[in-house]
Amino acid sequence: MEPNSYPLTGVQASSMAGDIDAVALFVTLVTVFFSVGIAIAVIFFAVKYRRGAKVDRSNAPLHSVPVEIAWTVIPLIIALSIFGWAATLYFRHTQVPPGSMEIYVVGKQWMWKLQHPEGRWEMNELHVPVGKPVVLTMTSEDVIHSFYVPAFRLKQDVIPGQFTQLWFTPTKPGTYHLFCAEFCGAFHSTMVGSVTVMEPEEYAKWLTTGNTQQTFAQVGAQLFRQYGCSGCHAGNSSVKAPPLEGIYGKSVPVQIPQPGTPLERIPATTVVADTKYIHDSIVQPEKLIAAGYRNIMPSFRNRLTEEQLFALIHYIRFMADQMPPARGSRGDVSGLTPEDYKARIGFVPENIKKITGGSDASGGRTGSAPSGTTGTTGGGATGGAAGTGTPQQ
Amino acid sequence: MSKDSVNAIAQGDSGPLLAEPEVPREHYINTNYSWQSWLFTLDHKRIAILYLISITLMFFIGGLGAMVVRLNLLTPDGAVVRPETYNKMFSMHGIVMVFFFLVPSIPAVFGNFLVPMMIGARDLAFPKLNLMSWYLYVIGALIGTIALTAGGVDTGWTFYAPLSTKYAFGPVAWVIVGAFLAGFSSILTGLNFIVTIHKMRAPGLTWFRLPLFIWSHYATSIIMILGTPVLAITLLALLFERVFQVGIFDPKLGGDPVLMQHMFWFYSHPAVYIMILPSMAVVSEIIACFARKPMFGYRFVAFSSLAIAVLGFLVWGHHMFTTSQSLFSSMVFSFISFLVAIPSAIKVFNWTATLYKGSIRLQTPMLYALGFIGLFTIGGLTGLHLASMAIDIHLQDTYFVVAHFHYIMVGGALMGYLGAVHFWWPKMTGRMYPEAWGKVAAIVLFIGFNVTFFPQFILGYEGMPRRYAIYAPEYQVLNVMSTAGSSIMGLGYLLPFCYLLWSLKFGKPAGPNPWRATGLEWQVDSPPTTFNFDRIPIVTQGPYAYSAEADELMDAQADLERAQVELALMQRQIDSSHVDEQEEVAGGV
Amino acid sequence: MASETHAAGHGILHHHFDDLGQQRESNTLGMWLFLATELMMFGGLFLAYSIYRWQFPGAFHAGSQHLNITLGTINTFVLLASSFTMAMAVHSAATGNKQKLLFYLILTWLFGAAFLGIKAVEWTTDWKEGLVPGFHWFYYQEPANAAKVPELFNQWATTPDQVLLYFVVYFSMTGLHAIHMIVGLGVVGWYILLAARNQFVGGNDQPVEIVGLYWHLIDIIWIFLFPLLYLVAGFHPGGPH
Repeated sequence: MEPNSYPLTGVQASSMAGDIDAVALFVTLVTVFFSVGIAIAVIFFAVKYRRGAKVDRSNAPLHSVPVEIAWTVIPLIIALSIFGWAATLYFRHTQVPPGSMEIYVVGKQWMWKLQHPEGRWEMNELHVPVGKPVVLTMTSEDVIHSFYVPAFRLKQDVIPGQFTQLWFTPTKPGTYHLFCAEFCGAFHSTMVGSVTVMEPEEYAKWLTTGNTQQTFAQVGAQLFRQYGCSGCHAGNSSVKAPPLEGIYGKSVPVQIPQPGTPLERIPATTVVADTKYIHDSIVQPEKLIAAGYRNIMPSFRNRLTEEQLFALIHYIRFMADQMPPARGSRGDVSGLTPEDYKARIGFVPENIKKITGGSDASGGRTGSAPSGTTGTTGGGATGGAAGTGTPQQ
Repeated sequence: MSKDSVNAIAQGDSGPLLAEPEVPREHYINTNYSWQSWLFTLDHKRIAILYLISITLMFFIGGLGAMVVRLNLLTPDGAVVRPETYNKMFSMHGIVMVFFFLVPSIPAVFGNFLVPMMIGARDLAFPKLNLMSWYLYVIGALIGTIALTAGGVDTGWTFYAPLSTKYAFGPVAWVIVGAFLAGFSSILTGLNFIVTIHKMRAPGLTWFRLPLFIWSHYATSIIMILGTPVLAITLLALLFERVFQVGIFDPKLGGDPVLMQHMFWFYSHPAVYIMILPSMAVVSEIIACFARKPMFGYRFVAFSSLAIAVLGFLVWGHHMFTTSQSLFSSMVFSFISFLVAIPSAIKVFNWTATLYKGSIRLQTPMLYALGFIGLFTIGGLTGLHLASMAIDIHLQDTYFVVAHFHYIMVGGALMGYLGAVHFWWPKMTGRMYPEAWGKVAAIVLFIGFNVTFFPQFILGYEGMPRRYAIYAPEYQVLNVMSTAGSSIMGLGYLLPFCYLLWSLKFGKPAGPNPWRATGLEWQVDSPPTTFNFDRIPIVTQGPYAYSAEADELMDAQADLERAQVELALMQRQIDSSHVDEQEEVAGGV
Repeated sequence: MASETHAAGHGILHHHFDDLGQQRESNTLGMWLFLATELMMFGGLFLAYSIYRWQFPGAFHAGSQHLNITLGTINTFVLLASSFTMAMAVHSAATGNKQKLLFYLILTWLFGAAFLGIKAVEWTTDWKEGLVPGFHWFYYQEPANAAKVPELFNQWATTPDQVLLYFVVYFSMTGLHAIHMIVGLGVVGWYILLAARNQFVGGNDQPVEIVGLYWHLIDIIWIFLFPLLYLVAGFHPGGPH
């Protein structure tokens, strides 16, 4: 384990750590200043004005509006500057840099299971290369946990039924504590492990050794066949299901079903087909219907574990990476004519012009697209690497 | 001092000047000793004493939990208990201390005892409801504590779903029922206070003539009645889901576990203001009395209490920055959390300014009040770390949070409680506690407290998570220090328990106003009669009619008179020994 | 003045109050504060309702179709009538008319009991159909109803699990309301006995007024529950479908 580089605070090993320490130091100085100040004032007064001391006590003031205003406004200014500084940093924390290396994490009582896309998976350990941004896409199998790396100064709760993201850029090779930081039952305190930051060459070597023969995408491909996804979604299926090649990260037309309104009369809109969209399409397919298709996909909730879902999502992304969008596939929306729609599914969505005539793939979200639902249920704000156009840190 | 009175004293008649106070012949305690008269009492003072006894019991039970926790943390592998047991111990400590000790503490004991007297009333507005509050509390506390000790739960006091509903061991449902009942006790107490303060003030007692104790308890009561019902429904929903295994927080049904956190913290954040505002109330009273000065900036302090109550309802999401709450709501919660720090700061500054040009006496209540100011300031300011979103990502669920809230709850609320106990002990019991021991205990507690909890700030920043039975070895040194401090702190609690009990029989009788305090409660006997006032007073001036200058003069005068009396007595002795000598000489001839 | 009220209302004025006026005002304020706490408590459930309805609109539409809107409407009028009779009871007490007071209190009680009776009928139906989460949930597993699952899907964009969540919300809200009705019936019943024993004459009408406030709150809460739970898919009176 790395020795503490700094007394009282520990080593800084991520790009955010130094900044977080800086604002924390400032707040600590403010704390010390006011605590010591008040303590000195109290002690000073208690001594100087102690009973029996011969000092001038005449004309003791009972109130003073200017003084009250001063000691309201000055602390307020200090407080709000701290707020602003910390909020800016936090904003950076929520903006996942595009191109971050994605690792899937599942927390369950009482272990962490981490999956690298290239195939290696780890239990309670995470190996990452130094200097590159990594984004963890995480969920829980059972209760709420929290993925905490003190050396990075970062944590993120891991919630069953949702998934959350945490990104970081490691800056210092070494091995650091990984803790679960949300009480999760009997062995919460042993749900710990380590994060090892390596030089890029070592990391590359490490990836090729170890405990897997398949890439994660290959695992996903197996599941895709095993659970019958290819039965509808493969190109030559007789069931009309939207093809999945090339959709990841692109804008796709969807319809949001309204209770009581037939699908033909529901306007289509577009959403970005990010991780959450694909995840929800598998477990809650009735939420957003691919535009022009019927609402007949069965739900796979409770039939797949979160790890398996990650594998499938990764496979779908892999297809997107490997295969350019073919004409007529979902990746190339502009190519579809109303006749195409009519031929495929028997009707033309109402706002066909809007969805075929101008949506572009890079970050456009038109209409109301609840790919994240409420603020409390999605990592929506942090989801989706592509198309969010965020500044580098 | 007249020659006559000096002579009177010299002749052994100490007269009114040096009259020793006596415990009055009939008062609210001895008017009837039967258990029925206590268990069915409607007298707010007796109910306060009933609360005092039950709360003290709860405190020591919660303290036992803390003791096991701290002992276990002596070694990284857990020195005394298995992790499952450790989890039950910290859960018990939190649940008992929050729901069965801190929330009732000052309002139920001192609010009940003093609010009617401070406003010149004979009782609270609804005496029967008051008694029912106590019974609800006792039944809830009994159910909860029995479930926690015979079985135990490992949910933490926060009962997060789905852990508490689907995975936790033990009689979780019973503990929830206990907390639920205690919550209703709180609601009814708050309701009683609000109506009493609005409707039953003595003639002439306008709002701005009220002691700050009343203002703070009013603000506390508002939080009690508006916040606690939300806890009640959250607990009910948890109970339903725990018992029937189907509910609104179950992610497998599409429910949202984070919704539970929102509902829980909507109460539990204002709850911390329920726990601290009454303590601030006490500190205001003590500072004014022991500095012999009216409170500086009275109206600002009064309005600060209300501001804390209002703003306190708007910040609950700062417990949830790491739950993937939306960026926007996190910003709003963080912003308002910074705002809510300001009224507390205003109070601290005003208390300190009250000391300026005062005539300061450092008796035990004042030691606790001054200790409160120091420790609450530290605890409150470390809240800024946690309100800062970026810092909270690191510090959430670590020992930093534990240290922060213990500084406020123990260094703040509990010190205020002990200050209140000492300040109003003479009024409640008619006896003085032994002052020297009081000072010793206060100092021991202050030292022990800091040794216990200051290291935890460092532990937290270094990354030690909370609720860990087993921890990484590099955290051991600070943990050992913390445990050592806790043993000193424990002594600081045991001492008052012992000498206060002792004082019931052997303490010096106090008289109506041993502290020469203003306030209507000090104008009646100690202990008071059942109906407090023979005649309802008419109030013509504001609270805190102290004058440090005048007191210094009076003290000087009293010193002078005492010196004169001693002189007279010495003179008498000399005279009488002369007479004896003369007689001896005469007899020996 | 003080001696007058003291003599006349010797049994009414509690000794810790200065006079009857103070006592009346205190009681009224106390009850209003208590009503505020009840609102906050129900508020938690309304919050859960709002969030889940926003998230699963289809489930709320589909689930509400299982309820008997006719019975719900009748119940709403029953409660409104009971509030009317309660208001008349308060007025009768204030004017010192014991006969009318008894009459209206009894009517109020009967209306309240009718409400609970109709609710019992509704819940028994739900039980028999297998729509009670956690206890008797098998509606969609029944062969007769299994065909409805794709319909749930296509028309309402929801699943049986989500409809279960709707019913948890439904039973929580109507259950909590029913508990409050039972308490209300208990108090009103007790007041009937007291009224028969001349307890509310001679200026001691305030307890009735206070209970009236509580009763009206329970009624108002139902006025919100009814449209939110029953009328999600519009007002289509008739049995469940």
